[in-house]
Amino acid sequence: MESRTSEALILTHSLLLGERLYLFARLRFLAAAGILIGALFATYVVGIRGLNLLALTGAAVFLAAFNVWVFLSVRPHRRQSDGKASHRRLVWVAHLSILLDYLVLTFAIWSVGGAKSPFLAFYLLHAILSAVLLSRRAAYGLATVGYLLLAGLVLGEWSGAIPRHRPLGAVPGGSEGEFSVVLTVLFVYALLTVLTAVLTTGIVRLLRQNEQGLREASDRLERLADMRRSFLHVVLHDLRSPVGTVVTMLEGLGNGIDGELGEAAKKRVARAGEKLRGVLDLLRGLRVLADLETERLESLMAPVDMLATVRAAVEDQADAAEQRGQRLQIELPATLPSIHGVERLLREAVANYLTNAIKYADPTGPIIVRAAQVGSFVRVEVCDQGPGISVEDQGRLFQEFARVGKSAAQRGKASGIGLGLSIVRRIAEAHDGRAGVVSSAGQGSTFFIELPISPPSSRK
Amino acid sequence: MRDGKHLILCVDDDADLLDLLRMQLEKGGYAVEAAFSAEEGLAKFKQVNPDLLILDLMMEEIDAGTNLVKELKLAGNQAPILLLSSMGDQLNLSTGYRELGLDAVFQKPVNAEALLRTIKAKLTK
Repeated sequence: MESRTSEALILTHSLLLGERLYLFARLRFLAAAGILIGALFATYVVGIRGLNLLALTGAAVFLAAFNVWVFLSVRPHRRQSDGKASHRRLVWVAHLSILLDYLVLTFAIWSVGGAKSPFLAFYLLHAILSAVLLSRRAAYGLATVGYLLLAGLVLGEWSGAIPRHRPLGAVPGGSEGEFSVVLTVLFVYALLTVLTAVLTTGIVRLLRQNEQGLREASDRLERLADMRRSFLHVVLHDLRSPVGTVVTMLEGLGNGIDGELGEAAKKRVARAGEKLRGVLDLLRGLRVLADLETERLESLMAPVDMLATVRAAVEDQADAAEQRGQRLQIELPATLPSIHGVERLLREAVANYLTNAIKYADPTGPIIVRAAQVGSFVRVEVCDQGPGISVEDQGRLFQEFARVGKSAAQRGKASGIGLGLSIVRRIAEAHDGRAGVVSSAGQGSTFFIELPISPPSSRK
Repeated sequence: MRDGKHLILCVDDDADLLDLLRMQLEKGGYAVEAAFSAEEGLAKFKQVNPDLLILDLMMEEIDAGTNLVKELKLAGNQAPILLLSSMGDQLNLSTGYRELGLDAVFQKPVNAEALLRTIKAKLTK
């Protein structure tokens, strides 16, 4: 468990490490420029005397130079760590850059007042940065290094081993050389460094643990969703197979394959077949909905010729239309731009419109199937001469299990729209398109689906 | 050909469906050989040299149907192949059935008249 947790932590954390290091590298260039500009400004504008411009320029140049290396090492890995090796490299870069930061900082602080420098607090800033970026141990280690550098500087100055720089106007004067000042600085910064390290690493640890918890929870949910999906697939397939066989058997029976049936028996068998076909349609719809949820949908997409798709869908429904005495009429342009999509699903969408029209339209007028380019979309329409759909029904029509209650029931054809139109809507949405209907009661309906034309890059 | 009739080899793991298919095809004037698995289908193919094949896409394992099509091709099949498929099965296949060069795909439940029409068209070509 322990090893798994730490591994996952690296994974989670490394996603951000490169990004943060990259940000810090850019900030470090600003810091180098800041040292230089600040020193010049302090000397020539504010009038602070005694600043060692040469030393500070040297520090700024050194900082910028090693930062060029940091910047170049981090930039290729900043988006996403490409594995453990690159993560280790990033961690190494982080360690080294913070260490070098401490050295430059100590040098700069020595140049601007040493134990009395107004910039001493920058040690704490670096303690915070290392706590955010690195492991707890590394953060403590680097904070200790920083404190030791500070202590070395202060004690060195006090003992005379290191020369003092006290630029006039930048640091408070007086009480020079008193050991109490040295002790105060050492004590205060020991306390602040420990507090900063403990508090920051504590908070960061908590955040990382939460992140880890969320990640595990989302993994668990993902696995559950996967299981549910494959379970649904198996169940739907296992339900469909026997139901399909029974439908075929009933049809055979009705067609007198085992000897002619009486009129009443024939009717009953036909009714049974019809009812079971409804079940089959429902299972089919559920199957499409399940398919729409698969993550692989994107990978199944390819350029689709909607002309061929519409023709195929119409061909598929020709029998059913004939049985109901409906005429299917196709109006297609010579060419259409291709769609980036899943052919089978798009065909299913058109087929759903067709089966609906065949079921509900009056057989007096033809069912017209049209396709055309409309702006940057391909629009496919199925127009019928049916009873039309009132405006309030149109709103609900594309919801799951919606049914245009009255009009359908009145005509005694309440076998239900069920999933059909909601499937069309979902298919359209999965292709970044939309589905809808234009209709008014008594005027027939035009169901349409609009699909974006594939961008040139995905056209082949 | 067998006894002056075109010979059709049907491969499906659903015995009921196979039985029904056989009766409908025989009623339509064809001779029928049946096999319950892809393996048996391939063996029968080599044995009887059918004029047309009807395969179920989804037998016990995913891809059993499509793999059979590929093996038939390797075995030198020239006869038309009709595929029976449950809607949605294609999405789970590693091969698109278009690439297989099939002569027709029928969605289950199969309309017997349409099937016979297609068979007739394929065999008189």
